[in-house]
Amino acid sequence: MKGLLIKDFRLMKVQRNFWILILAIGIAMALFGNSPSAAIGFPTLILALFSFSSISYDEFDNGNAFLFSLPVTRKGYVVEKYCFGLILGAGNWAAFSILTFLLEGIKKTTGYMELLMISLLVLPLLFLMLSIMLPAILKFGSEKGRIVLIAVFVLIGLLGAAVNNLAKILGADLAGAVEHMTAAGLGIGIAGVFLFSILILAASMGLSVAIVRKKEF
Amino acid sequence: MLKIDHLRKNYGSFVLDCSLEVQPGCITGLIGQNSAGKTTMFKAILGLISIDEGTIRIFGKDLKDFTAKDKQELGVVLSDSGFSGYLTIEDIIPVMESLYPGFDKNFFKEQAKRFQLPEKKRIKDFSTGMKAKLKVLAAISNKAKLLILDEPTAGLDVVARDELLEMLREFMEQDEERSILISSHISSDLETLCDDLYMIHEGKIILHEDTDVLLSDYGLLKVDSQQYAGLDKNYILRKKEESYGYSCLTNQKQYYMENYPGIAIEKGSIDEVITMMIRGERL
Repeated sequence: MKGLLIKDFRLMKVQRNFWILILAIGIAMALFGNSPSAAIGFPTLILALFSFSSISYDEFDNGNAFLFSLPVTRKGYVVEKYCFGLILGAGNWAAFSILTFLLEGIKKTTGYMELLMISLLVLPLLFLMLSIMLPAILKFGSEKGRIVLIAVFVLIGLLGAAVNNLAKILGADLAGAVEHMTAAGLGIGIAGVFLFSILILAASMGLSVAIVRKKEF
Repeated sequence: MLKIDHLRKNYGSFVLDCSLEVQPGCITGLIGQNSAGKTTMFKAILGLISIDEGTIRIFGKDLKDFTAKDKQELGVVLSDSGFSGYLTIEDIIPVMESLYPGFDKNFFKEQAKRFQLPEKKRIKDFSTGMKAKLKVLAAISNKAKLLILDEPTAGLDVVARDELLEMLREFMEQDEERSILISSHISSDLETLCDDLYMIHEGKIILHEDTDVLLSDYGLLKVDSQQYAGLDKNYILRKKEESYGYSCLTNQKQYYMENYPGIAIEKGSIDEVITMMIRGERL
C-alpha cells in the first residue's frame, strides 16, 4: 500500500496550483470569515476529492492493467484509496481545526465548545462523502461516477427537504430541539453520527472491494 | 516457471483456448498476428481477466493463490499499458522501491542514464522508444525470476529494438534460473532471442517448437504438380497452391534433401512457417 500512496501523492503534483489555491482559500476563510464550519469543512472535503481524481489518473491510458500487474491486490488498491482520502481529508481537518481554534482565541466569535462540535461534525461528512463517491467512481468510472454522485446528493437534498416539510406538518421544531439539547446530549448525538458514518464507511469499503474484484482490465 | 493448461476464455465469437509452458532458464516466444490472442493470454496470466476454464500455475502455484508477495518475483511489460503518463522517472523510483524489495535503484538509474531517459520529464512526453525502454527497464530492475513481456518492441525502430533485446540478454546472463515469456509479431526479434516458440492463431496454439529445430529442420519445398504427386507426404505439415505448382511446409527438410535431390528446398524462416501454418492447407 505504501507504494500506491507514494504514487498518489506524487500524482498530486499535477494539480499543485489547484491545491495551493484551496489551501489559501481555506486559510482566508479561517482568518477573515465568520463561518468556522466552512473554514474547516471546505478544505477538508475539497482536498479529499483528490482520492477520486487519483482513480481517473489510474484509469488514464488503460493504466489499471499495468497497475494490477504490479505487486498490488485488488483489496489493497481499494483500501489504499480510502486511506488516501482519509489521510488528505483528516490531515486538513486537523490542520484547519487547530487553526480555527487558535484564531478563536483572538476573534472570540463562536465559543470553543461550539467550535469543537462543528469540527467533530465535519469528519462524519468526510466519511460519508468517501463512502458514496469511491464505490460510485470505481463502479461507473470517473465520468459516469460524477453523474451518479450528483444524483445521490440531489436525492439526499430531497430527502432532507421532505423530512423538514414533514416536521413542519407535524408541528415539530427540529432546529429548536437541537438547540435545547444539553452538552451531554449533543455529545452523544455527535458520537452516534460519528459511529454511524464509520459503519457506512466500512460497508462502502466492502462494496468497493467487491466492485474492483469483478473488474477486468 | 509458468504452466498454462487448457486455458479457455470466451469473448463472444473469439475463443482463447491454449496450453503453454515456460521452463526455468528459457526464453519462450509467443508469436502471432494482431488479434491472435497474445494479449488476452498475457492478461489471463497476470490475473487481469477472469478465465472460463483451465489452470495457470506460476512458480508451481495456482494463480488463484498468487499473492502480492508472489508478484514481486515477476517483471511485467504490457503493450497497451504502463506507468501513469503524469509521473516522472524520479516519481517511479520510490514507488518501485516500496513495491519490490529486490528493486535495484542504482542499476535502474544507471540504465536510465545509459538509455538517455530523462528523470524529471513526464512519461507522457517521452517518445515511443523511450517509453518502451522504460517499461523493460522497470521490469528487469527488480531481480524478477520471470519476465512476462507483451510486445515490448512494438512500434520501435531496428536500433531501439536491438537495444531492448540486448537488455533482455544481459538480464538472462545474470542468473541462469531466470525465464522470459515474450510476445511479438516481429519474428526476427524472437528468432534471435528465444529458446522455443509458440505460434498462436485465432486463439489457438498452432505450433510449438524449439527455435533451433524450427530454423534447422523446417523448410519449404517448391514443387510442380508432377513432383508433388511423387512426393512422400508423411512429413508435409501444410501445402499451398502456387503458380508453379505447390509450396509445402515440412519439419523434415533433411529427409527431402536426401531423397528428392531434384526439388527446390528453401530454409524455413519463422515468417514463412507462420504463413504456411495459417494459410496452408492441412494434408
